Amino acid sequence: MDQLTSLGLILLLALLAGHLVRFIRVPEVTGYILAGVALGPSLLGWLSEENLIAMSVFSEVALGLILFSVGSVFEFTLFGRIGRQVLLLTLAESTLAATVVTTGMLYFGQPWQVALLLGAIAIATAPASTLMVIRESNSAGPLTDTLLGIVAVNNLLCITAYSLVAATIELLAPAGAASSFLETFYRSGFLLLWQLVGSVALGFLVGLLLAGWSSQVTEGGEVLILLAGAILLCVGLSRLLDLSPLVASLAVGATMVNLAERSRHVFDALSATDPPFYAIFFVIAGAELDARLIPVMGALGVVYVLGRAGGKFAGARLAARRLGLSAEVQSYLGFALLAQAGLAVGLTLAVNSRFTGFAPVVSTVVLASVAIYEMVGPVSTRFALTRAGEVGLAKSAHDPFLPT
Amino acid sequence: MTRPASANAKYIFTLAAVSVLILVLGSLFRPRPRSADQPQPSETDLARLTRLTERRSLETRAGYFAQLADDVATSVVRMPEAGASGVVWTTGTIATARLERRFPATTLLKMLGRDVRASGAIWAPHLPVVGLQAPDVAQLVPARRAVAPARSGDWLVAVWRTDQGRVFAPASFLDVAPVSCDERPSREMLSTLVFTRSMAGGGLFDIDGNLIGLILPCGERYAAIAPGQVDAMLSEAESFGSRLLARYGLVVGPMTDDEAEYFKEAAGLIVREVWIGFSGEAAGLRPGDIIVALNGEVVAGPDDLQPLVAQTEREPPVLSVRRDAARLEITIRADADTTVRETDRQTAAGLAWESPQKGFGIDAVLPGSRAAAAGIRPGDRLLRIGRAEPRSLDQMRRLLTTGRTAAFVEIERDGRRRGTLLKQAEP
Repeated sequence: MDQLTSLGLILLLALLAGHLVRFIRVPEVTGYILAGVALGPSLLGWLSEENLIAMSVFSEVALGLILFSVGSVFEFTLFGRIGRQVLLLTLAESTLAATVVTTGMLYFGQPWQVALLLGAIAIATAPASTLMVIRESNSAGPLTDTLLGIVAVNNLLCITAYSLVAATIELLAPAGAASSFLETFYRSGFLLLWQLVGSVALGFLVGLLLAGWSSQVTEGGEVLILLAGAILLCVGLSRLLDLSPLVASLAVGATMVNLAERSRHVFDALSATDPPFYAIFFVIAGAELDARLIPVMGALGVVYVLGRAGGKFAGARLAARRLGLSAEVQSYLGFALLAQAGLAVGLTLAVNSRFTGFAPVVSTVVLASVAIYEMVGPVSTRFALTRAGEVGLAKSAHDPFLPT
Repeated sequence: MTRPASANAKYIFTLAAVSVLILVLGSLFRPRPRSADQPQPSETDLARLTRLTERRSLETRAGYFAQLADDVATSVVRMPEAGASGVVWTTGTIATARLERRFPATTLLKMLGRDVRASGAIWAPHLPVVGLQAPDVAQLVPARRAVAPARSGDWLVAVWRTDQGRVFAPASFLDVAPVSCDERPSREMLSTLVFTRSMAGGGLFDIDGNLIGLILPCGERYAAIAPGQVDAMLSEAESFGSRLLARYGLVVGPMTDDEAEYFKEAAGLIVREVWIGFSGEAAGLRPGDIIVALNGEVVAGPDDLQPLVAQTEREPPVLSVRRDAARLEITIRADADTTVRETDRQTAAGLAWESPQKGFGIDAVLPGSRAAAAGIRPGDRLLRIGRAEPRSLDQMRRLLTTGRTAAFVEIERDGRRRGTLLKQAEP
């Protein structure tokens, strides 16, 4: 199908699906994703692989915008208040999820490399769908704040863990003909540092540009142009320099929220205009899900899905109890952490090109589980927020964690 | 934000500088994508890849030729009884190769899953080509002829049919060369192919699907003969002489002055060749016989023998023949096949042998000699000199060197008996 036609179709059907799922009290995000699944190659096939590839630029921009929004959780005063607990909670839920998945994989006879890679990937919680559910339900409160913080930190942690695991695998691999230990160490270590430090540096510079300029710009439309330009620049440069667009966009948001005198109107302008992007983002994400993988994922897939969920539940609950957080957070934080999407898929692609030997197992398990988590995750997050009583508490439709 | 604005600005500036430094240094020291990261083909992989590519190109080429062969195969038929293929020559006629001495009156055509009986074969035992009438074969497309001559190096495809189906072989054109097939000058389309018996009657086509040659026997081998030559042979096969040869195995002609003087006979037609295995031989005709009358009608020229080849005769014709001093009445039956077959061979005690050969084999002919002038060649067998059939070398020498001024000799060559007048040597 022609790109523009399919784009229009995506938007309209996403809206329709969003309306439809509202009746069954399911987040609109899930509606978008289900619309994507239906339109995608695995079901109706109205969106071909070519369409998806051509529209992947929308996904990248949308993800950049989402992480830019998520980055605002690093606002000094907010993070100073909840930073410690967010870090501890993230460490607990991530470590436990990774450990359970890795152990399960080893138990089911997978090589340690596969077990560790899957363990590292299991850490990631999808920022996009989590943020969207929070926005859609106008949530605010301790669970919401904590959740956003965790989502921001655990993606960083996931990238770090993946890079460490990848470096370890490469270092312990039988020395190839062309590479010495030192060279491998340099390559893997550099990649790790570069992806984190370099991405943060880039994000900081772009954020600086954005913050400085935004004080001169007051009109909503101009703010939007500035923001879109900055995010596109950030994502584009990240790709050019082999940096992580995810970390860089997060850093742009974090810089912006801390430096701009009037960061609020930037984020407001964003949330007023970005829904079409997000709709496209989630429909494409849904279309890229391969539901056909679910029946073939086998015991390993079940172990991954259950192990990750169990680890996150248990980790979040234990740490929350230890920190003396409210009963709502203790009970429902785990539910809010289930969604998994873009980062996991991106890391799978990295595994495909970097460790071809382990790629088939990792791809099948992760892509099948993502198909499950993408559909279950938003529902589960919404459930957690509802049960914690934070739905509808936000004062307006703006990002709820922003300082007011 | 409790810090003073100036301190903030300082921090920010430092951080920005550090960030720029990190990005610059990081970009500079970034490990370049290792060659091993890219799938780098090894030497053997490359060689294999090259071979695969070449193989693929060859397969494509073979596929092209197969397609071309399929296209032109609508003009090529199979004749299982004749053991040859045939090319649709013009609408309703098919040209094929004559592989046996005789060509049957009718033969089976296999084409497009249909069996059609073709009749009206036009052939002669001295011509390698046979023209067939093919009724009710509207779907047979006559082969197109090339307008421009083929050039050296042009691609060609030979297409023929076997009992298994259409077969083709790509080839490269070399040249048009004059060739002599069974003493018949012709033009051969030389290509890189060596033709075999199974390809006889097939066509040689250029890359546009135009016919440039018909595969025909040429002496002991097979050659692609230019269509123009085939046309000439086909029209020759319809001539009176060819039909006489095909029916009776006879070559007759008016006598030369020397012969008239030698035989002391002014009128009549002399029998020059009698082909072994044909009805002329079976009826007892010999070279040197002079046909003076047919069915009682005086024969003055070849036209008077036309009733012999007319299709409508009922009674076997009677020839009045003068042989030496005698006058013989010879009844001759058309198409009597007296060819010696394998099963007719003499066998005993598990041995099979040829019939003993008559006459004397000629090893050499001196150039410029009267024998050479009479057309006698090494390899011929000398059967008769005048009336006498020599039994010893002495007798033969005597007959040839003494006696009369000239001698009519009968020789055998390639399954045919010829008569020729051996003039007396110049004194």
